[in-house]
Formats: sequence, C-alpha cells, structure tokens
Amino acid sequence: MIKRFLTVIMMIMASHLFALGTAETADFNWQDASWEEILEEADGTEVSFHMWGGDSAINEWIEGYVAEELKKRYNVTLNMVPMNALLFVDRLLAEKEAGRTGGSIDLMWINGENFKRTKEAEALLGPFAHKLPNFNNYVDPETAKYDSGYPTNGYEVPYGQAQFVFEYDSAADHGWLPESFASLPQWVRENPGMFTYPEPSDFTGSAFIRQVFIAITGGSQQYLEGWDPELYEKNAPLLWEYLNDIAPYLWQRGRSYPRELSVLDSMFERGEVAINMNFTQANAQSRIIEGRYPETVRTFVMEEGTISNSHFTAIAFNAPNPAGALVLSNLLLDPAVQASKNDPANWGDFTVLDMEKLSPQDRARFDAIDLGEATLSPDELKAAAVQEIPSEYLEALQNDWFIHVLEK
Amino acid sequence: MIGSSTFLKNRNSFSGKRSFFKGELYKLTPLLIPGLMLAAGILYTLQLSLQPADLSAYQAALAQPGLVRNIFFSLYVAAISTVVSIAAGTALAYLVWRLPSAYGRWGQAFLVPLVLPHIAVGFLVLLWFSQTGILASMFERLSGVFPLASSFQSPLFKGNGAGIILGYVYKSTPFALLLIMPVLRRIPKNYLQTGLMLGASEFRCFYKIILPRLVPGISAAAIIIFVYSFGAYDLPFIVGESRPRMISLYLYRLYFTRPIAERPTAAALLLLVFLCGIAMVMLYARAVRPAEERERKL
Amino acid sequence: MKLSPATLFSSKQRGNIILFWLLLIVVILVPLIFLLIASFAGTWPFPRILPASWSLRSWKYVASNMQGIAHALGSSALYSLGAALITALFCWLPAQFLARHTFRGQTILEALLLTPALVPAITFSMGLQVLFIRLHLADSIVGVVLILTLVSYPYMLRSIKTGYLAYKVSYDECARNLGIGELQRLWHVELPLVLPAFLSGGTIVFLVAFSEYFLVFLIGGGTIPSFPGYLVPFLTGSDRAVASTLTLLFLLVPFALFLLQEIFLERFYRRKGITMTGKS
Repeated sequence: MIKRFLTVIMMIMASHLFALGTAETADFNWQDASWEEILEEADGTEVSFHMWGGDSAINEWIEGYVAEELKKRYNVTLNMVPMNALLFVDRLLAEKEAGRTGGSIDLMWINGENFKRTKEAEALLGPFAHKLPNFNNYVDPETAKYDSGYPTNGYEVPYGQAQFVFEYDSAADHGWLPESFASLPQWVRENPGMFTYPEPSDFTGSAFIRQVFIAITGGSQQYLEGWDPELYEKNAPLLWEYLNDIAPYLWQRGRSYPRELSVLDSMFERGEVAINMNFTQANAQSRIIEGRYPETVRTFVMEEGTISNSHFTAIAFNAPNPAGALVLSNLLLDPAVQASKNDPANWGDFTVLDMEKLSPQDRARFDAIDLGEATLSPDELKAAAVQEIPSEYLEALQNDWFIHVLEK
Repeated sequence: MIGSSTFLKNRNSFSGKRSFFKGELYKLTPLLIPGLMLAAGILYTLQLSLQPADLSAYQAALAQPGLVRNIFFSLYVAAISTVVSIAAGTALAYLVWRLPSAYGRWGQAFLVPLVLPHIAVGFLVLLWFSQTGILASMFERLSGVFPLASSFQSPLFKGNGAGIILGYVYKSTPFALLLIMPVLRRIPKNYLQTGLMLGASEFRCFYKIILPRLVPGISAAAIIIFVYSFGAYDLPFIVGESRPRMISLYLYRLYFTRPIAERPTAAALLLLVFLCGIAMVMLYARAVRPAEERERKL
Repeated sequence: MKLSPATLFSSKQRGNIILFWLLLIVVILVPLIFLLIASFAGTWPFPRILPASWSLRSWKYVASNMQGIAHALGSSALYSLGAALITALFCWLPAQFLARHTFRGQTILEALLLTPALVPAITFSMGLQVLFIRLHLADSIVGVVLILTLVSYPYMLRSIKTGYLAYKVSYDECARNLGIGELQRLWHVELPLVLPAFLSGGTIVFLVAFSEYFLVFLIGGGTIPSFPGYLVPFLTGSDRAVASTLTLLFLLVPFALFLLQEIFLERFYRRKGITMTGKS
C-alpha cells in the first residue's frame, strides 16, 4: 500500500517536472495574425488570469461563468490566479529585470498606478486593443483613452466601470446619515467607534482618502491637468487635518484601521461599524442576494460626488499564451458576458460598453437586469460621478497617509 | 558562514584524534546548499541598498517616521510572547511529566495548535476575542444573568499588541513543550522523589532540581520563539494594530507599495533587520555556551 | 526497585489529573468544537453563543469545489514532502558531524545555521525570486521546494543532531568488529536508531512548509497551487463558516501524516525485530 502511494507521488512529481518543460516562449506572431488565426492558436490552450482575489462573489463569477464560456466558445481553459496585485506586479517586474521569456502571467486585472508601473518598465504586451473585435465594435474608444490620467495607448482594455459607494443598514438607528464629506466628521463624532476606512494600501481605502481629498479641496477639475507637486503640497495638509480630526472618533480610536476591505466588510456585517464602502455600484444588492447583508441595507453617495473609474485587463510582455490572453480579454467585453457581470446576482459591476453601439437584443439584456432596491439608479450615480485623478496623486496620498496620519 | 569552519580549532572529544575531526569536515559541505542560497538572497538586498553607491539609502531608512517606535513595539511583543509561551510550555511539560506515562499520549493533543498555520491561529483569535466574537457573546449572555458583569471589551487592536501576543502564545506554547519535553524525559523521576522525601516543597524541588536541567531546552525554544515572533508577518497581518505596527508589516509595505525608486531604502531597512536577527542569535549563542558546555560534561 | 509514579506522588496527582484534562478541554477541545460548530453555522448574529440557524452551505461549498481544494491540498502536501525529503538528505551528514565533534565556535556556528528559519523571509527572498527566475526555477515545484528547504532545514538539522547525540560511535565499532559491511551497518544499525529523529524533523519541516504562504506565492507565482494560498482569502474575509471548514480540512493532512508515520514506524521496527523503546 505504501509502495503504491509512493508511485502515485512519483508520478505526480514527474508530471510537474514535465509541465516545467512546456513553459516555453510562444513565438506566435499575434500582431500580424487575423482574429481567426488567433482563435485557432488559442484553441485547446490554457490561459492564466491574475487578479485580486478578495471577493468571493467575483471569484465565483470568474471561475464559474467566465471559465465555462471560455471553454464552451473557444475551447480555452481558464486558470484564475487570485493574488494581491502588488505581488504579481512585482513578479512581472522581476521577470522583466531577469529578461525571462515564457513567463508565468498571461492576462492581468490591473489599474492606475500598477498599469503605469508596468508600462513604464516596458513589461506589457501591446498595443493590442485594436485586435479585439468586441473592443472595436462595442467600446467607445474615448472612454478607454486614459487610466487614472495615464494614456493607455491600447496596452490595456477596460472591462468594468466602477463607482465608489457607501453602504448602511436603513434599519439601524444612528440618528442621521452623513450626506456629504463636509458633514461626515460631525456624524463620526456623534457615533464614536462606528466608522472607519481601510488602510490606504488597500485599493478601497486609497480611494476613500482620495475622495475626501477631492471633495474638501474644491473638486477634481484642478488635478486633471496632470501631476502638479506644488498643488499637492498646498492641498494635502487639508486632508491630513480632516483625517486627523476624525481619527480619535473612529473604530479603535484610529489606532487600528482594517488592513483590507474584506476586514471592514466583516465588521460591517457583524455590526461593529455602521457604514461600509465599496467600489462596485450594486455590491449591497449582490450581498443581499448572497445572504450576507440584511435586506434593509442601502447605498448612498456623498453630495460632493464619488470617484468613478474603469478597471482594465493587460497582457504580460512575456505571456506564455498571448493568443489565449487576447481571446479572454475579448470575451470579457462580450455583451452577454458584460450583462452577466452587471447583474447583482453575479457581481454587480457596471458595463464599459457603449449602449449606442449594441444591437437591440443586446441592449435588452442590460434593460432586463434588476439592480435591486439597494442600488442607486444609474442616473443618481451618474450625477454624482467624479472623474479619477492622475495616479501620481494616488501614490503620493496613499504613501503620505502613513506619515501624516498614521505615524503622526 | 560555511567557510568559517576552517578556522575552527579542534577540541575533539574523541581523545584528541585531530585527523578524525579533519577527515570528517567534508560532511559539512551539504550545508553549502542553504548557505549559498541565503548568501545570494542577502547579496541582492545588499546591492539594492547601495544604489546609488553610497549610504544615502541607509540614512533614508533610519529617518523613516515611526521606525524606532515600531522596532521597540516588535521587541516588546516578541519578549512578552516568548516569556509567556516558555512559562506555559515549561509548566505544561512538567505537568505531563509528573503524570503517569499513559497521559503522555493524550498530552500530544496539546500539539494541535502547532499544526495550524499562523494565519489560521489569527483567525481563531479573531473568532474568539473580537468585539463581536464568541467571548463577547458569552459575556453579553452573562451580563443578563449577573447584572454586575460588565460588558466585554475586546483586547484586540488596542495598540498594545494583545492580539498578536495571544496568537503567538497559542502557537508557541506547544512548540516550547515539544522542545522541553525530551529534555525533561531524560531527568530520572527519583531526583524529584528524593527531594520530596527530604521534605522540600514541590515548588522548591522544581526550581532547584528540575529547572536548571531544562535550561538547554528552554533557551533553544526561547531564541526561536523570540526571533521568529519579532519578524514574522502572517499573524500581525490579521490581528495586528496599525499603530504601533510590527516591523514586518512596516517592511512589507515599504517594499511593495512605495515607488520602485524607493526600493533601496526598503532594502537598506531589510538588511538592518536581518543584521538585528543575526545579532540576537549571536547574543543567544554567547549566553548559552556555558550552559551547553555544562550539559555536555554531565 | 521501581515504584510506579502513580503511587509516588499520589497525594497531589488527583489535582494534576484534573488540571490536565481541564487544560486539554479548554485550550484544545473547545476551540476545535467551536470550529466545527462554525462550519455548520447558517447565520450567527452577534450576541448569540450558538448560531441562529444551521446550514450545510460551507460543506456543500467544499464538496462542489473539491477539485480545486484537492489540487491545492495535494500540491501543498507534495512540495512539503519534497522539502522534508531534501532537508533530510542534506542535513544528514552535517548533523552527524555536529553531534560527534565539539569544537570552538560550534555554538555560534549552530546558532548562525538557525537564522534562515528565524529572520523575516523577505530580507533574502526578494533576491532569490530574481535568481530563481534567471535559473528557470521560478514557477516550478523544484523552485518552491528549494526555497522551502532554506527556511525549514534548521529544524531538521537540530532534530537529526539530537538523534545522533544518543547514538554512540562505539555501535559502529561494534558492527565493524563483527565484520559487517558499511551498507549493512547503515541499514541494520544506524538507520533504525536515528530514524525517529529523521521522522520528527521531517514532521516539523513538513508543517513549516505546509503552512508557508508568502514564499510559495513568490516563487510559485500562482502556478503552483497551495492550500494556504487557497485559505487566506477566506480567513481574512467575512465568511466564517467556510473559513472554519477549510481550517478543519487543513488539520486533516498533518493528522493523516502523523498516523501514517506511526504505522510505518511500527511496521518497520516489527520487521527489524526491535521493540519500540524510548517512545511514550
């Protein structure tokens, strides 16, 4: 019996060793290939998708629906790799530094500062956007021109449109609801310990402080010109003052901040804090359907508006399967897939497709989606949308927070 | 590290067979595998920290805000975790040793937390000790029965490292038990019996007879627990506070989230922490040498 | 003259026995039971000691994701076994040497040999990531095993050394005097006597490797599945039920390994005609 056990182990080990040998550079010339040739090349391959894995609903949608569609339509196997973006971006940069061909990453979900980082290191494959039929047919190129103020130049394509929202339980009585960043400090003081935000090294935590920054310094318009260190030096202290003022009234008196959004989620679900935040418009509805939130949870946005941006997919410069990555990236822009993603029962992430360009049947798919009572109407959201500011501000803010707020 | 073996002077216990010692030195060569790997890793960090080729990265590293506070906090958390784990582990080992040997088998159940990864231990700490955890629920119930029972105050995230310490103690106590138990087993039980028969109290017997003989086990467990808790990442990530923060959390953030241009600063700090670790280990080696030599003579 | 310890300190033994069981129940059993309860919890609002409703959801989740979980568990078990095997191989002779000789600076050398297990891994692993990529070891199980041996070998070294401290060189001389060949001596004399030390060292190495999360991600790049990697998002998330179920599953592997080891040892010694002594 032990012998047989050992043989099985040896066999598995051997298969792993062989898998090592197959990770070769793809010398497929995708630049000049037609879409049909790309599909043919991708047929029967495996493609890896590296992405943030902190939300089980998103993971399930990718591993379930997307993987099945990819298999069914193109006979491509999806290998989702849930990983902190910092780690896989660092890995990609290390592979670039080492000059490794035939890497480990095909498609990645990245945005903003990570796109800038990898693009400047020439660690991305492209431009590839023009190769994707769904991008050419359904996406308004104007909406995909910039990512956090940095030109995309076709090196990444959008696949979701997000807007920051706050969530609260309408059945819980906390007196009143803060409807603006101006009145938030007052609310926090009256409800000590019931509010906090994730540390800004977290994606959502970073968005929260950026949001406050925009709101209390007179709107995003002034920042859109590009990185202006003087403007930053002038305005950032206002943010630190604001955040330091509320810190003593936050959860744990500001000595601790949730390390990740998922921790804040957990605290909100168990009633330790009264307000949660998310970068998916229909997140609350999605969680009600999952049974994680009570039915009475609702969404709100601040008067000063909330950040709206897109998230993107990009391909690693040494992707072992570029054809597969192109096919997956294209599939994520398929109207049926986008509609499935938009449904709160799946994820609730809004579409990047241009409704004008869709066929009536496809448009009907989106009209049929029930965003639920917990989600704000698209009009309300649109009215509150604030444009994303350049990623240099984002980096500076999230780093300086640790100096001026945490380690003060 | 490996090359150092050449300067080691022979004090071979095998009646001075110098050639036997020298003839066997080749046996140390397999240690080149980890030795070279470690050296390669550290050299990379070193060269990264020397870009540009001066000490500016080190100056910047030492000027990082909150650095000193976080180092002291890490030392404090590691020290408390070590003292408590060692005390509990020793007491537990003594208890198991005192009981009939049939209990030794059951005593292995105490090793369960050792099997759990630190992240799972962190999860357990949250499950039990958070403001809405199991203990809080129990207290809430009790306060209904006994009106005097005050409501539960979670010890976590208060800035005193309680969550991290709880986790480390839960995970390290069985580790101490594992290292101390074999040493204890080598002590004949009639030592204690004699002591008791002479009328000494059990505590005095333990303190005077047993404890001195446990020093090698205890010191080995202590240094491992101390240095590890000082620098490990997993547990502080889940149950650690933001301010003060454990040095590991501080390092990871510095390395991964700051712009690439600031990597040398992070590398310099990494190297300093590595040297700190080496220094602790060396201090330990100096401190235990007399005890180990005594043990060898026994 | 041999007095059984039970009669020896009978006056205080009662209290000790009660204390022993009490500790075992409070520190080990109750947390495990609550993990089990949590794994069957439907909703569990705050002030309730037990869940408000029960559900098989988390176990169903495990069942429906069995393939991924089994893959992760199997892969983790595989590279951890690999680490245990390789550390045993390269620690064998050095440990023997360190046990048989005493020399100046030995304590320092042995303490230094501990460092890779103790200092934060990030201090040396970032360079190794680049090196492994250059050597085509990244994303391979070989690379993962190698990095894991680096942070776990000190436990193996210590354990084997302890084993050899109890092994007298005179045994070898005795065997040689009997005219036995070197291989036979190794198989019949040395191996049976130091095997327990190898196994206990292997157990610790296995556990360290099996629990490692960051290094497997760093070198494995996500292409080598790992169970801790699978577990972490759940442990930091809000789904306590699935987190508890997966933690229980996690315990299963070392437990099975422990049993396997016991059976293996017993068989081995029975075949060799040696009764297990020194084991309690």
